[in-house]
Amino acid sequence: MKLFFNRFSLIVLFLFCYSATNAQLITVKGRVVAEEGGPLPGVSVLLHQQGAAPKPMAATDQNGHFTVSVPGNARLELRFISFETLVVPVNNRTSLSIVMKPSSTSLKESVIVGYQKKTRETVTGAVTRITGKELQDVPVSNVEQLLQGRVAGLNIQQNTGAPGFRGASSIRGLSQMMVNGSGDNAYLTPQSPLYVIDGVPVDANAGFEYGFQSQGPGTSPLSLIPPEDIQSIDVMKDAEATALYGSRGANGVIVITTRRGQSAVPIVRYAGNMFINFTPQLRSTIGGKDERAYRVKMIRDGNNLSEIYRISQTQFLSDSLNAFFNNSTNWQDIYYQTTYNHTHNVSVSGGDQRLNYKTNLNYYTEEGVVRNTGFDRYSLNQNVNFNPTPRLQLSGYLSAGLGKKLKGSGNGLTDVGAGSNVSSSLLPGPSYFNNVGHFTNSIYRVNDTRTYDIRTYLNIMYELVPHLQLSTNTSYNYTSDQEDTFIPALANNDKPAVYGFSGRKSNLYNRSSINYNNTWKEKHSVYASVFSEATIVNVQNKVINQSNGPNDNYHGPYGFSSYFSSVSGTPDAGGFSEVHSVGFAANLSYDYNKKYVVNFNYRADGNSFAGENERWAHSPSVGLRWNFNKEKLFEHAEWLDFGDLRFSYGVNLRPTTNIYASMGWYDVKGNYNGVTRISPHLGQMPNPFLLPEEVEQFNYGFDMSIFKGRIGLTLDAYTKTVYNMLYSRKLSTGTGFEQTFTNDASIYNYGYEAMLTVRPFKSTSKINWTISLNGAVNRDVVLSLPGGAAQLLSDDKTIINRVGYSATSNYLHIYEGVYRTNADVPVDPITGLPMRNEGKDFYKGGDSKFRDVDGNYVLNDADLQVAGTPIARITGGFSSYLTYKNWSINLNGTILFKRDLLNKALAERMTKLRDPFDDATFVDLRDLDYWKGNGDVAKYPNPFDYYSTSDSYRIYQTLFQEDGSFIKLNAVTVGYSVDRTWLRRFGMNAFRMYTTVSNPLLFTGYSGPNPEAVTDLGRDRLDTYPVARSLSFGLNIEF
Amino acid sequence: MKKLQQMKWNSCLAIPVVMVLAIACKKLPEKKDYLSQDASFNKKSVYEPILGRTALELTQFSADGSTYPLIFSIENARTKNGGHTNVPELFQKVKVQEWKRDYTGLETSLAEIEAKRVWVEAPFLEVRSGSGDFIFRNAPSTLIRSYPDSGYLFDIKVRNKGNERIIKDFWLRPVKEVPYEPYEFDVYTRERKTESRPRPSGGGANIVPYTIHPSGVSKMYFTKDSLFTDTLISVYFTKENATGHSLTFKFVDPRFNPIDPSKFSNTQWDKILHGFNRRQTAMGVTYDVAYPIPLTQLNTAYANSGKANVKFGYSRKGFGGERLDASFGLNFAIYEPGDWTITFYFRRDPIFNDD
Repeated sequence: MKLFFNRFSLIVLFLFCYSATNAQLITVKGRVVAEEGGPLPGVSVLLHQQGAAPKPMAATDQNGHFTVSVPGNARLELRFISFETLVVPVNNRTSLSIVMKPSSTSLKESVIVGYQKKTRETVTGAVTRITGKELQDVPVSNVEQLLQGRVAGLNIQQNTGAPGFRGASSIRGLSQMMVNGSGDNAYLTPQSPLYVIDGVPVDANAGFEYGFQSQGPGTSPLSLIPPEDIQSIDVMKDAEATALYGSRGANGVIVITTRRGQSAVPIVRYAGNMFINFTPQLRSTIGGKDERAYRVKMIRDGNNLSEIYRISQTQFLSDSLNAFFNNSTNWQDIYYQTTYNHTHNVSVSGGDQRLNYKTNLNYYTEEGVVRNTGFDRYSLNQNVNFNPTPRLQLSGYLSAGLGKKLKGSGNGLTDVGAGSNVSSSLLPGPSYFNNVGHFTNSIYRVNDTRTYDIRTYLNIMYELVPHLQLSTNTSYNYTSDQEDTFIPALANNDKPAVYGFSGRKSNLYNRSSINYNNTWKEKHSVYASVFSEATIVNVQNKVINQSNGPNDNYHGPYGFSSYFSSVSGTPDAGGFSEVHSVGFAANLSYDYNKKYVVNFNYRADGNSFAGENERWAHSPSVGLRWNFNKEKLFEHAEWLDFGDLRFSYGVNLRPTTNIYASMGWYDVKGNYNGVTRISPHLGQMPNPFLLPEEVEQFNYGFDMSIFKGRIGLTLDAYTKTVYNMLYSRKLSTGTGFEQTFTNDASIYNYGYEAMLTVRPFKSTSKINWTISLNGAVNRDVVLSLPGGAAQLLSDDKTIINRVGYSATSNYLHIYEGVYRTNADVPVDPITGLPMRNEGKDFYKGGDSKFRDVDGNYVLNDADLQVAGTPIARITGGFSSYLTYKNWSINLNGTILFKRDLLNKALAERMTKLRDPFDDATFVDLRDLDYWKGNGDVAKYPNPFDYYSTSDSYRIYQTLFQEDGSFIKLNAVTVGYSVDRTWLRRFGMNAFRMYTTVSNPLLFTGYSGPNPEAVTDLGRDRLDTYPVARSLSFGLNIEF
Repeated sequence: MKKLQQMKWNSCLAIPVVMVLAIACKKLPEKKDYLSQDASFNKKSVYEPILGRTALELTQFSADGSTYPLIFSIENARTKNGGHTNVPELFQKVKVQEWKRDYTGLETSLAEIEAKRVWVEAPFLEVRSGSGDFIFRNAPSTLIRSYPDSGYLFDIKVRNKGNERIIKDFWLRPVKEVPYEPYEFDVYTRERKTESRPRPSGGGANIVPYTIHPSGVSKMYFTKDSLFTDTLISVYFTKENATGHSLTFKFVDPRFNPIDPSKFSNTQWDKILHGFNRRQTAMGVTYDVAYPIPLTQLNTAYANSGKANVKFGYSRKGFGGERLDASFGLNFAIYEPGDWTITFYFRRDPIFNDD
């Protein structure tokens, strides 16, 4: 009874407190202006409460005015992006005049970590925030491109210029090292970070998990997010920050938050861009008469009678007077074009803290520089936040996007037109009667590719009792991928073909949590939360691939020959999957006076496709932070804005990253007695004993800002160890399977990241200039390989993984120059035979001098050596924002060092050159230092000795391995904002004009066209889709 | 206060240092090469080099992915019968010729060929340290044990960075010198080989001691309508002077009378052999040559598949006015220097005149 009474009195006390605070409300009117003058519209006004998150109350109107009803002793918090958050005590005043300072430090801004908003002061993990403002001025089809070079440790490689496609991205070195496929098509297991868009995890890969063989449109959901609609992007790098995102966060997490309404007066914003994509630098070729002379000379120099006789049999060489063979066609020009594109974005937002809304409408159209490629985006995003009472918050979101893509003949990363299979200039350009298959395929292929993406969510948060909140977030994403392609007869060996793809993917997601937060004695703050997460992902893809139809006017699907048609139905790998996963997580954080912060996280993930015996993955993590500037020692240190030390440790487990690895799949295996047979796929043995991959990370961080934000420095050091890494293992044929996946590999990454921000001028100066520089150094070491192996080679023996060394090294013949003369070729003293390949392919003057590692005067596989590594060791970026009065100049760039590329494009072109009878394009050799005759010291071997069997221009040699370091200027923007007071007359709030040059400059020692547009394994393919330079003119208007 | 400031700065600087140290603590696996446990030689027994010539037994080593460079060395050489654990004769230096430039088959003088070779002193047995190829140099059977002796055993040590393996018990059983090929004697037993020769009377064959026969006997008649078979021609190799440098072709009829080489009118005497300074008499044709013949395994105008190819021929008008280009050839090799004579003994009189 006594107990009951105590409790009762406690509740009464609570109620009393509530009524007491509610009783003394006063109306406060205020005006917020910026320090440099001018009212600030859209500033959030929040009621500061002890021990709880501040309550949103209002936002300023276009003149900076606001009105709130608060208790007389209340403290109001004012928040505005890129301004310092301000807490103003009301002190029973009814009129307030508030001046806000532009934020000079990044400490007070809040970031979103583990689905919670936290102020930076209490974040223990390694998190970098990019504001939407930094991403505005460059029109791109995929927002990921804009993150390039912005975050230390986030390596984004724009390896294709194809509109609407996605490059490669990874956080903090390698998370995977298995190489699939071979030759040009070899690719590293994707290691993309997890994207969380407005609190909902999104799979950004979209068909890219199968490398170059991606089926269907391959449009990433990221391509459907308009950059204009982005409020902020938080990049989470270490295990502590990503712990709460569960197993999918093991590669790092990128959280995208879209804009919200925050102004009582509706704001209409228009952003438009007109941009021109320029044809990139084309490869120089030899044309017309020169080409014929070149070919004939090459043949005649061979002094081989039968070859010379062949000239007369090869019409395009001998029949120079025939108009048909007497051309100088610039084939590359036929494929490439300069395009004019535009994008428009209208957003309407408004409301107050009770109810606010935002609608964003976006249209983007881009034609690729390769004909018949392009990307169109239509998107509509809406969100509504409704707080009927301060204790209940509802927010809803609806986003619909349509991405239309033209793929030409390419699969995204590559396109025929981009350089391979281009014909001799002697042939006339393509016409109806002069069919050139690859041209017709590229230009006349009819391609209708659509990706529909609908994302919705509803988030409800309710404060049950003070300090205790319940919230639930339910989202449903539905993506439909459609592709219809018609290939004309001429492009397909006189067999018209259709390809159809229909795929759907749905993702139902719910996260429900209980949060508790409280502060005692204004010193001890506790935040605790428990949440559960459930996801159901369904994927179903269907493909139809028909060939040999009646004619080009009939697009089927009936009437196609079943004999020539290959696939119809659900494709083998990636055709169907249904994945259920649940997660439970708990988080406890405590801070003492915001000086000492401790953070514990724990998450367990259960997954339907994890190895049957290891369904659950457990991810614990801990983070510590010491804000040392709050120590007594620094109490009077005016120069120190803030300084802190961070430490975090965590383990992320991901259940097998490949559903087929643990479950296997069934195939249709023909008929038996007229009944279709279904049997297990025998190539790959499912392994139910697969363990989750374990990613263990330590992070040591240090942040400091001095001299009122003039200099800011963030340092991070980390180690990241991946245990139980999935790796394929060949099986003996006796098992009936070719291979299985095991957990035997392990890799260790360690590295350092630094970010330096300098503001050379005072915040009161008219010139506002921010320079920031970031860099990351990462080294990786293989700790173990399957079966205790010391090394493993990729399928085509060109990539090697070795224990104790860095992962994925090229495995090549070492090139040591050119044999100047025949006498230079070493001779086996025993046999009297000169250096040779296996067989009787003797080397001679002008051939490549390869290192004979085993000293047997025979060049074979034993002479292959570990050469460079295609994984960049040093990545980074730089940016500069300079504003003076109404003018602004912004630029940002990317830095990448210590990466070895294989210039396969050059090797391939040289190989084509070595067949003078083939009607392929001839490259211009004039700028190449090659062996011309006896005694020449040259860089490249004799290109003309086309019937040499020494294979001097083999691709896998160090001659074609080059340093791929580069410094790239991503974009430069010059902007002008028209004076506000003048604008008022036209009812406009802001008017800004700007012009941006994208990809203006790239400094590199690499001899190929672009060291960035290469595959993730550093192979420069001849058919890479080039990254275009573009010039854009933009307009931002705000009403 | 100044000191305090200084202290602050120092502490700030100390932090990155601590971070660096914290990372350096991980114990990483040793950086070492890979040497597969399955790496081995495809052939361990029995190596039977023929003495009296320099030969290379090409890589019998399958590395199974082991990291090159590898270092091979011979260890523990001994006789197979266990009699001697020390066999210095295998490693005793012998004087042999080695190539320093490549033999092309286009050399125009003996001096040019000899300029491409040098005399060196090297042991009979050697393993190529990088690749594991075996080198057997030109050593005489007076020095090296040879069949029927059971020969030698030895081990091979393979090393690379951080690894070492010993592959045991390679069996080496050299064979005595074979001065030329084809050879009339069995290389092991040194007994005369036998062959069957059709009886002149027809029906059945006689087993007779083996003689060497030419190859590609074509359109050679000994009567109006009887063609030579190759067994009707025997070839004899004879050596006169062990230090000579010449090779003579002789042709004799059934009565051992010389046939004038000029009767083989279709023969391209300057192109059949990589020899120089041709001296042609009614007795035979002599060239100055470099031994061995052929000099290398390289296919040249004179040699193919490791054998010198010679071809002789003559032209006559056959029965009914038919033009008959008769020819015969020989694929051979000679491994010892000397003044060699190759005699073609025709057991029937070839017809040189027109029918």
